[in-house]
Amino acid sequence: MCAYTTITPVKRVITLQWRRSPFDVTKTETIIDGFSRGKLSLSTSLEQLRQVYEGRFQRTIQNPASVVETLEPMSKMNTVDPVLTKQQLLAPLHDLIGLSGVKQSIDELYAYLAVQSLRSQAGLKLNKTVLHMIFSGRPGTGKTTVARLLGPILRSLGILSEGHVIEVERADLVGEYIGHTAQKTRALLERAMGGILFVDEAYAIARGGEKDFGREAIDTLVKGMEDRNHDLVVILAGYEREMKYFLSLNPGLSSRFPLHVFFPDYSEHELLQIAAVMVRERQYHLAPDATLSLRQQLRREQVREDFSNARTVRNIVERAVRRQAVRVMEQSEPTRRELMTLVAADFRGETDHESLFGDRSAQCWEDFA
Amino acid sequence: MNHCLVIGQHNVGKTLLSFRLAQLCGMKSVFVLRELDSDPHLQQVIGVNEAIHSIIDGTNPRIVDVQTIGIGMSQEMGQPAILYDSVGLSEKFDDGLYRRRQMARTLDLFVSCDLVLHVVDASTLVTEKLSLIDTQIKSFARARRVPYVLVANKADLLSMRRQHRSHLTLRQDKPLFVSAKMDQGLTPLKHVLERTNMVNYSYPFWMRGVLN
Ligand SMILES: Nc1nc2c(ncn2[C@@H]2O[C@H](COP(=O)(O)OP(=O)(O)O)[C@@H](O)[C@H]2O)c(=O)[nH]1
Ligand SMILES: [Mg+2]
Repeated sequence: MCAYTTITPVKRVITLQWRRSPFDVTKTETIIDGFSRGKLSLSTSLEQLRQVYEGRFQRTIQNPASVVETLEPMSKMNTVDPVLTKQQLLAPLHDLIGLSGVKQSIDELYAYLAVQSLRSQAGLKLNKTVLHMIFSGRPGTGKTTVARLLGPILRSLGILSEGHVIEVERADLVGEYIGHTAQKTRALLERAMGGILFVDEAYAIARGGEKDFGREAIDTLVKGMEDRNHDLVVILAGYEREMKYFLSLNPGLSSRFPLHVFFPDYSEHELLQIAAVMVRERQYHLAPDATLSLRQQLRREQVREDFSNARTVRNIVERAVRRQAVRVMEQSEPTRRELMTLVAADFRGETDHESLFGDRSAQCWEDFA
Repeated sequence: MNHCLVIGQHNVGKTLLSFRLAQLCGMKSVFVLRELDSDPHLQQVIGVNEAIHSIIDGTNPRIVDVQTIGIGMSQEMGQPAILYDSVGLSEKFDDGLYRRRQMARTLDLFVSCDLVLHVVDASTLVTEKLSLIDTQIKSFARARRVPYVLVANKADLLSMRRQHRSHLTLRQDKPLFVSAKMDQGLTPLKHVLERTNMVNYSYPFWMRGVLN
């Protein structure tokens, strides 16, 4: 299996972010907040804001070394006992079929974060962790499933306060009018605060070219990620090749997403395992010849351009279930056993293919794992 | 996509100027979003010409919310921009806390926008000098080193002689004398919008505001 993870050096990311906002954002926020609550007059607040910025330019000139941040401890770290909860936390992830490379990446990430929390308890210096991720891989390889499992894991590590996952795609981010997009994107970021914003088929955002509002969505997303440095994880997901191209078009983006997780296609054996679980869940079982026929069908599908892994398996199984129903109806009095059995004939013939984009009904298949 | 803030005291013609700019950029109707305190913000698509007429006739009820106006640029320039028509800044708070929060929102935008169009009412310049608030707005924009234009609106109310005098005293600020009502002198503003849009787009996002 050819899964891999790259965790690019985190330090480089920090310097980039500090170039964009070298001054203290909390300072300007405090001033504006003071003004809105009537503590400061307009002219005092304008004057204080000005001083923040004047100071910013002087400081960066005098002391360029100050870009390397010393870090504040992460929130709520002390409440976790990483060793005890590890098994329970990662169990749902390890129960997934296949995905050994992905599991290993998440294990590493978990270990890293857990050690960070131990270090903070010991009063040691912390590395700033940027946890925005890119999940690349073909449809149906489990990207959404893993994202949903990641929410609770990050929550119990104290990285996120809620751990919920908001799943969006291009149509949710990009609006129809100028100015509409920024609004939509900002609202979604707001909803995702404390959790994970999962952008499916992320490369499609930029699909419309230069004049498209997709650009605005990306800008707003990046700006939002910067304004809300903590308590939000953004995951961009999509085909590997398209994601690479997308990132090469937006150089500012790739530095903000230091974690790349690759989701390989399932092997034939894993696909059969998945099918077996799906069949069992629906309270059916496979006749011996049906397994063979299913295997042949999968081989034929696997070479297709639009093969979408677990999703295709689900389609095959559901189709077989429908054909079995037709077959059973023709019998006069089907037995309980006949009602449950899928035979080879149910698996023959063409499978339906859904469109590759915007399929959101994949929810059914994560329950099998 | 630049975020441009139209800022100034109240009743100087910020709203009218924003719609005029949209008109100048060829917009027939614009997507307007009012940032109210209540959660779903008010969104509507309104006709530019009607909006302009209602402001000039005075039939438009005064707006004390920050409103976002999206405008597209001419075909050859491509990039659209967002205008923020802010509430007037002033020390007096007759309208209470609500107004104050809207002004705080304006300040929020002031520390993050990509271009500042600072509107003053040319007809009320006392001895052709900027008022205290206007001076402070100007010096903050300077300190932030954000692209900045001083717009002296309502130039139609000035005699030639007075306009000439203000020109001289405000010389260092390079003011642009316009009349939003008569639709005079606004073309340079459109060019400023286009140019800052272009400049910003030749850098990756994270470098913006660092280089100027
Ligand atoms: N004479 C004249 N009146 C103007 C001009 N621009 C705006 N006004 C008037 O000033 C008033 C306030 O305009 P408005 O755009 O609502 O100001 P805002 O409070 O800054 O948004 C309106 O009655 C406009 O008709 C101008 O260039 N010349
Ligand atoms: Mg107004």
